[in-house]
Amino acid sequence: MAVDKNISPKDCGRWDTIPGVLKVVNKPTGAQKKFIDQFNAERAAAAKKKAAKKK
Amino acid sequence: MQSAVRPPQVDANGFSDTDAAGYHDLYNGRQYYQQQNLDIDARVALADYLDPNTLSGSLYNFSQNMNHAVAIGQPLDAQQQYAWDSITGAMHNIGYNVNLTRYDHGEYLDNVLTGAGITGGHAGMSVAQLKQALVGVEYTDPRILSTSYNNFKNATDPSTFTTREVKITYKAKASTQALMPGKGSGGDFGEILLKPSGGGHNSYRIVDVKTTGAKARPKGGSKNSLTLQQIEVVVETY
Repeated sequence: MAVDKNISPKDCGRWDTIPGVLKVVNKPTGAQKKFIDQFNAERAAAAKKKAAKKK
Repeated sequence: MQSAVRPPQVDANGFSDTDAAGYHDLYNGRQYYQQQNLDIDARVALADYLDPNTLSGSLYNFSQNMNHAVAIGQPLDAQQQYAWDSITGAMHNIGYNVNLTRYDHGEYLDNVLTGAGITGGHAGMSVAQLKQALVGVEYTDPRILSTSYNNFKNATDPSTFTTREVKITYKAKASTQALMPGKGSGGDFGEILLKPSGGGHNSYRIVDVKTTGAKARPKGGSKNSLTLQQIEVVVETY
């Protein structure tokens, strides 16, 4: 059964998805856009803080 | 004043594009398969498509190679093109408002999150955050998309699928273009193929994100090592 082989990015048989294959066709607006922007900023800040701690 | 209601359109196979019922499960797969009355080209193409064996000179089977070529925009070879044309050409109204299931790995979430504008993928995101970011996201899929109408209950080992990190529940309306390929040599997955997005059919809209309450494994992980919470994404076709 050719499923779940976990083999390279070509593992996109009937039951797997490779990155980028799905195309989002609408852009978030309003509260959702605000959430996404804020989430990205917080995530970036946390990553920066973590990197600084490692030094 | 009474509003005009368009009568259901029934295709050549007798499948309607509307269903007065809400979303429900599909029963009697054998009868459904027979009603499709697939022609010889479709049946030959599906035999290739469902063949789980790797192709000579390749690490992958036919459907993997074909779907990968489509995903990266690579031209199909003659056999792939024949299968693609025969299978997509045989698709019809699914005929009922039905629930379909697919299990995928975290790449699915990362793909739609990236499209929505989230950087860094789904790792570390709570279910509430995933829901906030993804509900309302609409996307297209260029592949022939495999789903199951019976949650893989007749698969040799359903847990191959059901322990994956993401459960996608499709609410497929009757006009969704689809095909039941029948019992392939890879086993009976209760498979329903959905036509690639295009021509005004088969686009997808995320309407809910929640946890199933079950545990799941990371991609490549053992079915005995369930370390992740399983996320359910509810997707309407439109």
